[in-house]
Amino acid sequence: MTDNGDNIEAFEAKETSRKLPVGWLVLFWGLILWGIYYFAAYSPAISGWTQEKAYQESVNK
Amino acid sequence: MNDYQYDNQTVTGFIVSSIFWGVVGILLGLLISVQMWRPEFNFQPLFTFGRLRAVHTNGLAFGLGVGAIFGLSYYILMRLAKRPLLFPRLARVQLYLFNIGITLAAVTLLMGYTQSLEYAELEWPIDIAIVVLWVMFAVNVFGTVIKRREEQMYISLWYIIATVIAVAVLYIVNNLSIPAGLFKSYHLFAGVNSANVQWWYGHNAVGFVFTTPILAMFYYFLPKSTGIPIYSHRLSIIAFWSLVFAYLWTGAHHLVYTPLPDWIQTLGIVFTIFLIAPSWGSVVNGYYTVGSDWSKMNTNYLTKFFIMGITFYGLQTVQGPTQGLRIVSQLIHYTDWVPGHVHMGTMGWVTMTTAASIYYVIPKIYDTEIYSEKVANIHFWLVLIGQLIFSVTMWITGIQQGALWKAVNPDGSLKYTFVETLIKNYPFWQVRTLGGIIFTAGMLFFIYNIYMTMRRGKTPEMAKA
Repeated sequence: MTDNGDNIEAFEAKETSRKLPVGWLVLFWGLILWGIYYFAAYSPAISGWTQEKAYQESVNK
Repeated sequence: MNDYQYDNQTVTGFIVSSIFWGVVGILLGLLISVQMWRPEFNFQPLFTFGRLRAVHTNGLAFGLGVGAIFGLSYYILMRLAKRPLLFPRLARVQLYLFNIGITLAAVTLLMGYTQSLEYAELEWPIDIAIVVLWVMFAVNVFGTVIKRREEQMYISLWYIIATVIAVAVLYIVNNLSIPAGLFKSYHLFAGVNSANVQWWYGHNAVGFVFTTPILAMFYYFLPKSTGIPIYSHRLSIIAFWSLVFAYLWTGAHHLVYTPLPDWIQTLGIVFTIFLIAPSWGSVVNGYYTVGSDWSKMNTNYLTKFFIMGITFYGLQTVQGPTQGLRIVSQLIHYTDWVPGHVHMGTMGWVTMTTAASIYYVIPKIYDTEIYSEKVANIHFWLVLIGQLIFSVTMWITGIQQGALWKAVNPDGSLKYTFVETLIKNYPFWQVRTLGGIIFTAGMLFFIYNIYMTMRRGKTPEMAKA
């Protein structure tokens, strides 16, 4: 057996180990912003939206 | 080096047990898929759909899944901590108890004992045994991490630690119940609270059994088998912390349009959609890693398993959150779309990645090469095709089902009876069985390959340093 311990440096690419792809950062922050919007828009205490009202509206249509 | 040999035998024991329960669970899955369209394949009372379905899910999640997680986590742990397990005999006892526990689970579920909570069906005496089992795992993981001989902790260790902590909290809280006899109990929580706790548990079973430990394998075995280092250490760490932070809030997306308070549903959906980012952190990292040398897809037979696995993980982590949105949920919730979604995750991501990890580990422990890369390639294509047939047919029939259920006449009455919508599922259910047969054939090639590798190699006791 020669595989009893790992050299941890072999797991990390030297030049890129601290990089964060820009597209991924946009996704990350974008989803946080979207989450704030969505929570406000669909919380009865903030926007007044309720699933009961939404249901009534869909029935009246 | 004797310690490593003893521990390697324990690892092998978990892998073999996991494969055994995998065969049981997959064959039962085939049987219940036939039961959906041929009722006479229900054999009263033990082998009916109602009982076998729970044996199928528990057998594969806890038998195949957790068995492989125990074994492969120990393998990864020893190598990243640069030492044998701190309590080798405890791990061995854990292996025996694991098999006794899964056996008891299967037998009691067949006999009809259930808590009626999905993925938490097992009654309270078995729950206690499982908690004991998990404590044994936790003691060994934390003990070995604390006494490690490598200061830096690689990302896989973080994922293993998250698995240990989260599963312990989830399992204990959701299984709090008041016993009423040896095989009957009542959930401590009632009504909406019971549902909320149950799905907080149920969804995170997916998060911390089918995601975090599998990512631990992915981050460890991808660089080990390809020789390519992970693209970005920072990305892996940020993705880890945001994943474990967000996951535990998402369960309420299973209860959209229920009596659960609106704001809790909304909060669950927000965290669910956010989860795309940390999940894709690992997907991007995986692609960029192999992207530095795509020729590995041809030259190393395991690369395609990991890349296909992370691809299905990526598809799942977009598709799943989308399902949580109200507008999508109202069409596909309670339809066959849901098993389609689950099986792309379990057959496409979990089993693919776990099988590739086992392909790496077994030859190492037995000090040999894999028996046949050609057989591994046949295995790869069969499970890929079988899984796609399964998932895609379930998506189609799920959308059809949802649309038929929602169709109303001008006076507001339902256009279709339930049975009419059911009959339209039959051709899709038959094709699903075909997909299942192809997948099972692929898994048999895998097992044959592993068995032949073990036969060819030295036994773990004989493999000297």
